[in-house]
Amino acid sequence: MSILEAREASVSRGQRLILKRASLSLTRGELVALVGPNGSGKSTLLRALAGLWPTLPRDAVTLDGRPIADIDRREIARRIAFVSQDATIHFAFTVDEIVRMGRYPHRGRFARESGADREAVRLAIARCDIEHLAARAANTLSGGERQRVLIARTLAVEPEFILLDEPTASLDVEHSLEVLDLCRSLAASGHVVVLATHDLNAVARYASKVVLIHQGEIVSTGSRDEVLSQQSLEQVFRVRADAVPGGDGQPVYVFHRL
Amino acid sequence: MKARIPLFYALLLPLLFVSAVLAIAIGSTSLGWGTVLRVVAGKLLPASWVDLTRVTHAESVIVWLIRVPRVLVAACVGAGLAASGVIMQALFRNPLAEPSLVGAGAGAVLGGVIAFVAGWSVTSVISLPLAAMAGALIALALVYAMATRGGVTPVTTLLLAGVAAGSLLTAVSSLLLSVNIVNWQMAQDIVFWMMGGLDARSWTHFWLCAPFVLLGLVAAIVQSRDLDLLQQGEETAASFGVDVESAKRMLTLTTAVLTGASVAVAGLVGFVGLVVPHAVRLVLGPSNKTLLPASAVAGAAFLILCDLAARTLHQPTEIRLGIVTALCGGPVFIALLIRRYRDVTTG
Repeated sequence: MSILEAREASVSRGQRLILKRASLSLTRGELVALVGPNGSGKSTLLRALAGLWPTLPRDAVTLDGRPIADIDRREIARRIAFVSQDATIHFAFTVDEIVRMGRYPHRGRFARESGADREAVRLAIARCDIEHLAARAANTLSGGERQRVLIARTLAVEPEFILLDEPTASLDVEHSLEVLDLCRSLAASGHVVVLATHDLNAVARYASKVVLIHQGEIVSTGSRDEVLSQQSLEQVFRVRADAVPGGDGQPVYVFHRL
Repeated sequence: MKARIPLFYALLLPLLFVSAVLAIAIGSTSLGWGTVLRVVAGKLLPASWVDLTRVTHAESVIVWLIRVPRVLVAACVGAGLAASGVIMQALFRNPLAEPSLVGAGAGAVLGGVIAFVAGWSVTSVISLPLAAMAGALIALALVYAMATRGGVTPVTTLLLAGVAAGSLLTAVSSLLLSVNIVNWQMAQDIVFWMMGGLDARSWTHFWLCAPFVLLGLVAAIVQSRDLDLLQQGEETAASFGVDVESAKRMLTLTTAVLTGASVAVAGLVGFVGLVVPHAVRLVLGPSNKTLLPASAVAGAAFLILCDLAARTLHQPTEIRLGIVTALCGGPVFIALLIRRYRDVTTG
């Protein structure tokens, strides 16, 4: 079983420490929510885990015990996918072309597209329910459609770990539920899905594990009820939360300023 | 977009062929297209296949030693500049970027001017192209060194360093020109060369330019999938396994080779690298594997036609090629800008 691990990972930008000795371990089948206020270090932690922070100390992040800095960039890309918060698509590539870019780490420089490549692209497009958009120019799609296209490109890689930075930030209610359902089904099929988000109600409903991060430090890790306690919400988010029972028995949070 | 590729080549390849034959046939001595084809076939095919009895020696010389190399050089320069523009526009994620942005164009011009001023260009026909090529590569190395900190070269810094170095190098070229203005003949040669032109280009020029353009084109096509991903942003590219810094280095080097080889034999020819890739992208889409060869073919045809116009519109003198491409390309550029502005303002 693969394990992606951060051990006391610290990242500084200039004089400021933006990630302070963060430790986290990720294994199969989890849907992990990374929550915290703006600027708390969620995106930095995701990038560090994806090996996209080149100045990180060598053994701060390991994949199956190997320092990620020692692993070939393409191998990392085949196993760990990162979807940035910026869902801009530059130039009028078609949806099909965008998703096929996901096969980059699998293809040699001179290799033609293989049957496995085509099959992975087809499955990714089907899973994200964007078959009807395949021939459209991706930069003309709506925010929700574009987010699904970018997730499909990530699925085409067939990675074990999928790290998403605020995938639902710009989506309406329906599309954001769609993306969250997709994340849940990915976790159920054995992927590790980590998503940074501000949507605490979504966290409550979907995440199997919650990581609370504040001023660059991981404050607590555990189940929803352990991490999103009244006390931590007040300390970290500076809000008071009323838990109202929802229709399905799950609580719904209503927030008030302190 | 993909379905349009066969149609694109079905139109462009005949256009390329017809413009080449026209450019060889038309001139101060007009020749029939039959003569043109006969001479070219006579050179390329076994002697017994072609009847050369009706072709005079003068016609044969005009076609094979004067006009064919000129047309081929035009094709190489057009292809090189267009391919270079494709890379620049993808790398800077800006459809209005062009080959001279990283300073290679200005570097090549300075190299050429030095060859004139030092008198090398008089002693050897290959010294001018070689100096221009060297100038392009040295300028790129300087720009890259200026823009790199800790092994990382942000494209925005690269762009700024390129623009700054470009104006500096151009100023040095102008300085060299103005201090040597007393040497009237040389100053005129420099000014004409800087305006771009293909007069008196020979097979030597073709062989100086073609291998580099071919090399650059192949290198660019080999890197086309890296370029596709880089076009979506460097972090995205890195997250899919692209070695971003090495890819950027190789791609800018490729543009310097393409631009350098073109400026070397044609002087400064603007707008080709800007307009051709942009227009082809509108028809075939942005996928670089398709766009690179298609732009090269379109650029070749475009420059052959521009050079034909430069030679024939104001006989017996020639209009400088750079002026013709700017006169054709300028309005297209403005139209694209307006279109883009409208797209932005109307959402």
